[in-house]
Amino acid sequence: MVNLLVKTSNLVKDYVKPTRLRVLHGIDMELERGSFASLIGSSGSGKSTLLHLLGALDRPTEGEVIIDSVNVNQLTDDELSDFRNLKVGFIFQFHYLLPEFSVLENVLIPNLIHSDTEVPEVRQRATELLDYVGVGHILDKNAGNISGGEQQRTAIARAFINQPKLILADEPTGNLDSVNSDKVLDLLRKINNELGTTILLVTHDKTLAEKTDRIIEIKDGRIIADTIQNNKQSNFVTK
Amino acid sequence: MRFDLKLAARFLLAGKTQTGLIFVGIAIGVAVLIFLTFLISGLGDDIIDRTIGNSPHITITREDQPLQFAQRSFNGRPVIPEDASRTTRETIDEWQYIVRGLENDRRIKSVVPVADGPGFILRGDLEEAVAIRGMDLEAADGIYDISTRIVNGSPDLVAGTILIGVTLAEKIKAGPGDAVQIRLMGEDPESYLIGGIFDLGVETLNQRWVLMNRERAAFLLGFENGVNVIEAQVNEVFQSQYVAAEWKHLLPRFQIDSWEEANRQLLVGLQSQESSSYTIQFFVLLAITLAVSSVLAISAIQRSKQIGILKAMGIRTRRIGRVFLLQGAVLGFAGSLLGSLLGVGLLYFFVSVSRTADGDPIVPITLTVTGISAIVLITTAAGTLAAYFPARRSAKLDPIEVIRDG
Ligand SMILES: Nc1ncnc2c1ncn2[C@@H]1O[C@H](COP(=O)(O)OP(=O)(O)OP(=O)(O)O)[C@@H](O)[C@H]1O
Ligand SMILES: [Mg+2]
Repeated sequence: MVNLLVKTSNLVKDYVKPTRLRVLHGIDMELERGSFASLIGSSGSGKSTLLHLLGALDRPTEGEVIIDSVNVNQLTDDELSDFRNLKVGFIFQFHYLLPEFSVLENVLIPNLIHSDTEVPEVRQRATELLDYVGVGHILDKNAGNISGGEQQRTAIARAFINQPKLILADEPTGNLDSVNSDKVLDLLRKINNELGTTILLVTHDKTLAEKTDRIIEIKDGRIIADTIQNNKQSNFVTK
Repeated sequence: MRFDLKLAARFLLAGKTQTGLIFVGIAIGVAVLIFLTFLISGLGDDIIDRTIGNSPHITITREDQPLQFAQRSFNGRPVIPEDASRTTRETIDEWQYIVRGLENDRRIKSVVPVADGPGFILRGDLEEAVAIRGMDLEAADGIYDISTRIVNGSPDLVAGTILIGVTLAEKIKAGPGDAVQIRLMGEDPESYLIGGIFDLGVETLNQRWVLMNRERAAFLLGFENGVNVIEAQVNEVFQSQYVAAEWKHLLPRFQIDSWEEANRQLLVGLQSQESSSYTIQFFVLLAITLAVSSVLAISAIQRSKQIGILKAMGIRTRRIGRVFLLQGAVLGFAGSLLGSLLGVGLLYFFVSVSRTADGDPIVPITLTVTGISAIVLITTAAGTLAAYFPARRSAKLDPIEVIRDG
């Protein structure tokens, strides 16, 4: 039996404002531990919505999300917060560093949310992570005063600081040029290989998606294709 | 909590101009608050001190006719002359017993039995109507501080010696060592020696009082070693009417008056001064609260991205609220600390420039640590309260909205 980290069953999401709109129509999806998958689909197909449900940022209208054997639906709001803090790492298109803090401090924030005070080992880990993503030379710079590429690398380091099981990246290269995009993808690949973290990458960019192990394609809130990249065999899901 | 404080501090420091302005605004508000509060209470204390600092708070007599107390207008000028109207010859036979009882009352500071009556002073062909006041000097000092207010001569009150006020001395053109005569209405004059001249700071007393040995005065007035008035001061000036009422209960056949009953109007004036002080305090605090609230509301909107990302990263809702409450508290606390310094500085400046001719401050101001701490505490609370709505608003923020809109 394969070792699953994420499993959704019949995931439905309706938005009620401004009018009732079903965005996800019963998504069944599984992610293996240590896998590196991408989620593609046209704009408005529901990629971000799905990602938010997987990351416990939002609650589904119907269906279940199980991550690392925890049924996310059953958690209280505070438990959801703690769950996001410890189990999930987010990387967003707009890098969202806190400009009031330095690069190093930004990376430490998810840990400070959890432990309140700075732990020396975590600080050590943060500097290592920043070295690893290639911004180790600007630790003390203000996060508001660094380039877009540097910000995204910092955001990646931040996503990993609490050593989450799952990394969710929503178009992390959307704001970067192709050189920097490739660098970010290589970085995610490296982290996936070396740390074994499960990564789900949302992207518009087919060529970027092709560098991951698996491409899940959704359209109008339904999975229309699920392709394993390694053996280049595609198996279309018919639903 | 430490991280919350760190977030609060960074958010405040990031908006330097905004934070700086509101900080200075709070400081100015608190400075005004401190300045006015202590000035007004200093003025109140001063008025009370001038009015009753050196006059009896409670007076006990035999007769039913109420005595007239020192009543002065707010600038310290006498309105109704003290005591001149007291004409009773009804003596208090058990006065020693009552005095001892009063002295044993912890609320009472000093007790002065007085043999008091009208008479005339004569020197050459000059004659003045006076109030003869027979008191033991030591006891009298407890209320009137006579010993320290002798401007000429000595304060001894041996039999045959009298002390008179500066105004009277001028009128009859007499000084220490001069002989004068004193007579009662329809009686023969007796000779006395002026031992000293006092200045009690009140024109009427300086003009009318003739102080002499109590036994001598009693003899002169025909009291047979008795007194007809017992005067007392209490420790807490605003307790005088309760103390008086209690003693009235114990001594039903006596007339017992308190300065509070006799000075209703002054008290009303003081009270309205106090409530104007409260009104100013309220509005200054309201202004501070509104200013902090609006600044934090703007700050909350400016930081919605940060708040959204913090929530996405797992900070709990209540904690975000706390970060904003802390910002309000920090602003209120730091601003009021600076404001207290400014306010105290302002008071020192005021006291140092506004002095009487003798170099005494016009308004004696007593700064109290509790008073200042209370203002700092209240302002901190106001700042925290002001942050409540911005805090609730940001705590409720949905991180997805922020993430989606970029
Ligand atoms: N809060 C919301 N209220 C109402 N409708 C929403 C809300 N969020 C998303 N939608 C709608 O749901 C649909 C899916 O949105 P979603 O953001 O998941 O798409 P996406 O695949 O991530 O698109 P993109 O590639 O442009 O980011 C869209 O039609 C969008 O307008
Ligand atoms: Mg999207």
